[in-house]
Amino acid sequence: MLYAEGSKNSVEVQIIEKITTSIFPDQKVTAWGETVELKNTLHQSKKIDLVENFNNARILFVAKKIPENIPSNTIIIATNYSLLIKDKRVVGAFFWQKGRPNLLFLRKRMQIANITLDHEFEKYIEDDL
Amino acid sequence: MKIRKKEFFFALFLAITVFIIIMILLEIPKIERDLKNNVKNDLLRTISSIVDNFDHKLQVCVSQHHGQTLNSILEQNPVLRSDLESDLSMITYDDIKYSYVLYRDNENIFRFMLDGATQDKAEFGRKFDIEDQKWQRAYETGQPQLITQEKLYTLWFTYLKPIVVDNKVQGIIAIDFSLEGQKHITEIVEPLHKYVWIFLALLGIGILLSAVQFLLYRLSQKRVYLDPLTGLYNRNFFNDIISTIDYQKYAIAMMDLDKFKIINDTYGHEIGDDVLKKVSNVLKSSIREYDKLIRYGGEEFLLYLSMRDLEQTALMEILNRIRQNVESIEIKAGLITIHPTISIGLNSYTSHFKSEFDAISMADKMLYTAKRTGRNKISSFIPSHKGAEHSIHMLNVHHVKEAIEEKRIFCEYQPVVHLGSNQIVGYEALVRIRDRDGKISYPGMFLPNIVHSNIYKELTLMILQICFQKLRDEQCSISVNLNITDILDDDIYTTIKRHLELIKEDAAFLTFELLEEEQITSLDTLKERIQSLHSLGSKISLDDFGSGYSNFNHIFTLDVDIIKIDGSLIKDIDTSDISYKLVESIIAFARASDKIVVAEYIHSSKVLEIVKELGIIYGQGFYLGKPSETLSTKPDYCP
Repeated sequence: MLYAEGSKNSVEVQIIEKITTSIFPDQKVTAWGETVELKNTLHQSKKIDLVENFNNARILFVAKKIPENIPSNTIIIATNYSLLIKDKRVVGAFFWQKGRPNLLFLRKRMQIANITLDHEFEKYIEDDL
Repeated sequence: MKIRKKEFFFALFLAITVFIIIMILLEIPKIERDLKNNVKNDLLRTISSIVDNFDHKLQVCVSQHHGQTLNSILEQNPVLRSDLESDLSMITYDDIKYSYVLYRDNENIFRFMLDGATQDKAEFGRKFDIEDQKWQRAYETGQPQLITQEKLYTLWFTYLKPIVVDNKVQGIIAIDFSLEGQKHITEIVEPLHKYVWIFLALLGIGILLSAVQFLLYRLSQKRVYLDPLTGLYNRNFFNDIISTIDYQKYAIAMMDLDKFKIINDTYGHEIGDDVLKKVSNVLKSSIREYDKLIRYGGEEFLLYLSMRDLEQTALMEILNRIRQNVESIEIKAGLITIHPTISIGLNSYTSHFKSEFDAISMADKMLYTAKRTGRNKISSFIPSHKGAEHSIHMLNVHHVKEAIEEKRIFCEYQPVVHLGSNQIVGYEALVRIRDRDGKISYPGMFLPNIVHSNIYKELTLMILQICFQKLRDEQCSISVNLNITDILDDDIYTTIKRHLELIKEDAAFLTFELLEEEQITSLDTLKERIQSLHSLGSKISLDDFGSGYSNFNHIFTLDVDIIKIDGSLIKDIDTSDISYKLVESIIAFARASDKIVVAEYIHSSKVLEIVKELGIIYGQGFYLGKPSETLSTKPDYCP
């Protein structure tokens, strides 16, 4: 699933789309990206509505720091492994490790955030760190 | 023929060039692939011994911790891990991007044991997502694996070395090679690509320029070889191309439009050109693709008919079709409709002739026959046994030149008889060539071949000398045959004039028999020179009057004394009403204009009788006296 065809950016778009459609299968999701690169990536997706204000987003993609005062039901995905370790609000991370795309979700955090993922994500879900 | 050869070689050159280019283009990726494989193998050779050493170190570790797996040993010993990771980091250099050791957990998920990275180091047990099945295979078989990374952007290939302890794989040492190594090779090969494309571009430009040049060459050739009026091949084509083909595989037809000069003079050059164009179109459409048609002269056409799969009868059918098609042309000139006709001389026995020139001469001769026997006809050369020999013995320029040098030129003299008194009044000098074996050649056997060469003039000058000598020896009237162009030739005219000025008494004995030509280019000069000969005391006779190019006007403009009626009219006078009436008209005209009439070709008593009845006073012919070297004193016949 992770080794999609295309450029690095296009792989990222495809994986992010898979994540969002798995979490929100019935609706076009509003998303917010922390960095310019993330905004660009999200902007390329036809399945995601990129929003300027994170308060309007259902899902946040964060690379460095989670903004303050985010709505409580917002789902946070990190693009950095260390952020996943550091902040317990992050339910999962999509990041590059040794030149390869990696995906990691934490079961407990998913339960707290009240989200489920398709069966094909099972091998990317860990009980704990 | 030459053009086709050139086209063939040009196409061959292009094909070879394209083939070479394709081969080079196909070869470059192969060279690149081979180069990459060689570099890859070199890198593997270098790294495998290092990896083996590291593997050995891990094996030692396991052996020192009895009963424990490598995974549990490393999990419990962070210091050992740190030492080993430090060793691993030493492996990482330019070509090696990552070096690490993984183990597979119970759920077949790969996790880090050791990571040689200095930045973004993975901690022990971190999950690592890998999808290539070779990882699983390495674990299951215990054999090293090589993965070429086609979907990753920073990696070229990955070397996997399983850590086998007691026949059980306890982990995998993984070495990721940087894409930079491959990029170096691409950088090395890229200029080659570039040079090939530059070469290709230059070659393309070269080919384009050659093609343009070739096109221009063909266009200029077209201009050089095609007659602009009719679109037919011209004499240049004949000289350059036709002369190189095997003429013996063709029948040669010489064709000439009948009375074209009259059309031109009467209706103007515009109509004349129209006639030429229409006739040319008809000729083109009447022949086959592999026949060759040339506009040989003004209204003269030369046709090479391929004898491939062609019977004599079919050949005649083609020519007859041409003749009929030309006859059916209608050209409007005001209220008048012109129907041009064409006379054709055919030589289909070209293999009987030693040279192409001889073969064409025979076709020309046949054309002359067609013209003289009524026009709008095909006259074909048919070699009888004797005829074939005759044709084989046509003399060329070289033969005549030799004959002049060896003084084998001589004249026979045919008597001209006063039909009333039965007295010989003069002789017509007729040129002959005696070969080294004593055989005699007649004018028809050599004049057509030399008429356009310098030898012709030399021969004419020699005949004049022979006749002058005869005059001195015999003191009798002699007629010398000259073409109008001979009078216009400065050398010939000067020779005659000087002789007559030097030996004045010879002038009265000399008659110049002029053979008319279709077009007289310098009429004023001609008139002036004939007047000069007249004033010296010589007579001028118009030969073959009533044949091909006869022009009544010339009788006055050239101020001739004698009209010699054409032999073809006299020959048939006893059987042809037309001939009889024509002769009758000529005589009436001659009387009216106070000219002397001579009848040629009197070959029987019956013809002689008719000629006399018509009131002709002078006659000539085999019946009256055959040509001989010595002068006859009496006619051969007895009245």
